[in-house]
Amino acid sequence: MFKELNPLLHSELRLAVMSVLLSVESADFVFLREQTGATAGNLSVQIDKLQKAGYITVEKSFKGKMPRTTCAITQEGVAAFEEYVAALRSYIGKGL
Amino acid sequence: MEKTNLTEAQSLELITSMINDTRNRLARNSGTPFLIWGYTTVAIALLNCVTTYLQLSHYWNFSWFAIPFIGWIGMMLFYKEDKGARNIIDRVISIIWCVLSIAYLWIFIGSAIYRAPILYYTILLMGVGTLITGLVLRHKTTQWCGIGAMICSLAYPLFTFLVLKCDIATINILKSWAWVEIAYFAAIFFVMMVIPGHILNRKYNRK
Repeated sequence: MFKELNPLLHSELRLAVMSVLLSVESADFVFLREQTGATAGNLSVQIDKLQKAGYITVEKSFKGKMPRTTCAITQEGVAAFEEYVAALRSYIGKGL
Repeated sequence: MEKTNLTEAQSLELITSMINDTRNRLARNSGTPFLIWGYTTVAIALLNCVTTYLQLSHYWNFSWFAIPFIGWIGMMLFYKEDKGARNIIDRVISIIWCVLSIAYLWIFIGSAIYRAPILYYTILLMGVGTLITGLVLRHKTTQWCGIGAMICSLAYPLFTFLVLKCDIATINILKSWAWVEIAYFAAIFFVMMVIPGHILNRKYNRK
């Protein structure tokens, strides 16, 4: 029986954001934009979706006079990501 | 990055590449702090080596205090360029060097109260820091440079032990060789910090 893939994570940009955040403690918006190569508008929308799902936390602050948005993955996000990867493996394993 | 119809293989590939790219990006310039402290210490040590050899005023010894000033300015400039993200390795290495700096400050205060072999303690402590950094980064050259420095630091107490066995005339001759002690210190710092610093930067910046 195949596990169902989490639709929230099965999107290229959201998956990329989650992968980046999994390998750091926190990352700011500019870093995520550069790493994923996404547009600011699209990234902003996807970050909002991940935040609403409780997978990431978003903190808004100022660095000097510049606004700064910092994102970090939550425990819930890590668990969802692990479940997603396990589901992917079950698909690939059974497809071989 | 607008696609949503990813295949399973593409998803796994995307995850792997994102994690690797992020790690490589954060590891860039990780040898620079070694270079900042290494070159500063070597330069000041060589300056003191020359002033000791030429038997100039002992006030030149105050130039050692320039190391923390130059080093901290260098580190402030280094951290001014915000990477935008921070991983656990960055944090662990920062904590290690922060704790070692506090320990060194204590040694320094202690040696000011009661004369202690400060060059020996400096190399030993910095060697420990270099070894731990190498272990955290899983970088063999840095580990070996740290171990080598710790072993080489033993030359100082060994030398003192041998000097104590000498007669007064020999001790007076050895006193004129004080510059060798400082030159040895500079050489160890070069091997312990400058060489791994360049190797680390070359390794990670090339990726």
